[in-house]
Amino acid sequence: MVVYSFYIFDRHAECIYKRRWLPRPTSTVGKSRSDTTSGQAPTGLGQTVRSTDDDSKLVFGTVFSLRNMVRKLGGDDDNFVSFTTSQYKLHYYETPTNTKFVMLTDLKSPSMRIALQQIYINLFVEYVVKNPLSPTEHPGGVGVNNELFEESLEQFVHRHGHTPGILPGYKDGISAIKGTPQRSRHLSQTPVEHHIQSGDQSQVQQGSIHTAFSDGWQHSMRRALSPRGKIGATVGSTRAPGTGPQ
Amino acid sequence: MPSNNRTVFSLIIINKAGGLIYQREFQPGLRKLSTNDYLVLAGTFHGVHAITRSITPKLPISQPTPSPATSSPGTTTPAASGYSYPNPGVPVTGLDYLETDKFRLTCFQTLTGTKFLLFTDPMTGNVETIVQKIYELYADYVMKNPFYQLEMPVRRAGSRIQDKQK
Repeated sequence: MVVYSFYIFDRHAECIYKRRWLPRPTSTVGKSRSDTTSGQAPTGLGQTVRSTDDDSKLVFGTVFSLRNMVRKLGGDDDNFVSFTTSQYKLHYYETPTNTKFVMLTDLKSPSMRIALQQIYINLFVEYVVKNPLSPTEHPGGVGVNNELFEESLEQFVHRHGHTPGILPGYKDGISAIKGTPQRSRHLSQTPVEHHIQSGDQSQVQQGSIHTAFSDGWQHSMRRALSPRGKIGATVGSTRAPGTGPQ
Repeated sequence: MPSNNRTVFSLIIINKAGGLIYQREFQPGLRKLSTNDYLVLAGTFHGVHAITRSITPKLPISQPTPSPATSSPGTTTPAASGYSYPNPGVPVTGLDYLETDKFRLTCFQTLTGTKFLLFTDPMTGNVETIVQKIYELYADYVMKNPFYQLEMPVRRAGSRIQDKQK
């Protein structure tokens, strides 16, 4: 199974996270041909950025329209799960708060609905929603800018799909923060598949996921306080809303 | 709801411009919409179908080696040299199947751009054959009808598509 890309949209139709594991040259075939002839870096940059943005908008428009179509035909309790073309498969999961999770994979992948739900429950809620420094709304497209979330998502995808197509170091998301091997080892001990009950959320010391969670916080605090940390401007693992990407 | 293996809820035919030319319900299961809503649905689907084709992931042919310190422009520049689609031998299509909790939508697009949308139960097998049969019936009874005007709605007299499903 190969995962091509992953998107999160909030309830205001804002793309708050996008991550592609395979780069995409341009939106259209014609453009790419003319690019290779002119072949200059600045135009390439502008086009790449625009096509990434365009992609997320197109993906949102697609899932939004299809979801509404499905609701109209199947009733309000029907859920749009996935669609398939001859080239790829798009998986969709929507939370009760209208946060939308979209994943593009190859055709051989089984239903990723559970996986998307796991990403929501175990990664998004744990690392983004419970992060006191993370903004609840994302105006202007700052998005989820959270190291822990990104690292865990990376590992989750790697674990779930045996992904030969993934380029390990390629980052085409909102941020490009490199993980150290030490931190990767630390995060791999996080029991991502472990469901947590809402009842014991207050007891931070109990349960391995909570221990890992607080460890992660200490770790990222340490990183933020260390003078040579790459993300010295950040507190915790979230960039301040004003700084934005880059 | 009958749970046999050939539950076909309804059929929609969309012409190449996105206009609804035929709609028929075979078995209850989906909500009934007004004629206007079906027209909107056909137009929406037509657009979405085109978009789903354009968001097909493109894989670079020369796999760029990820260098640690570069940001996205540096890594995507070699990718501009060429790309391929995930299934190179297969022509790129738009949405073929859509799955929901309650139904499965199969879309078959003819070479001329007419789309056949078949709504079936998620468990229904052999949908391909049903769609092919419908296409044959459409060719025989609609396209070969000398009084049929191209791209216009299919009238009852011209179509025996419904008989096949009984």
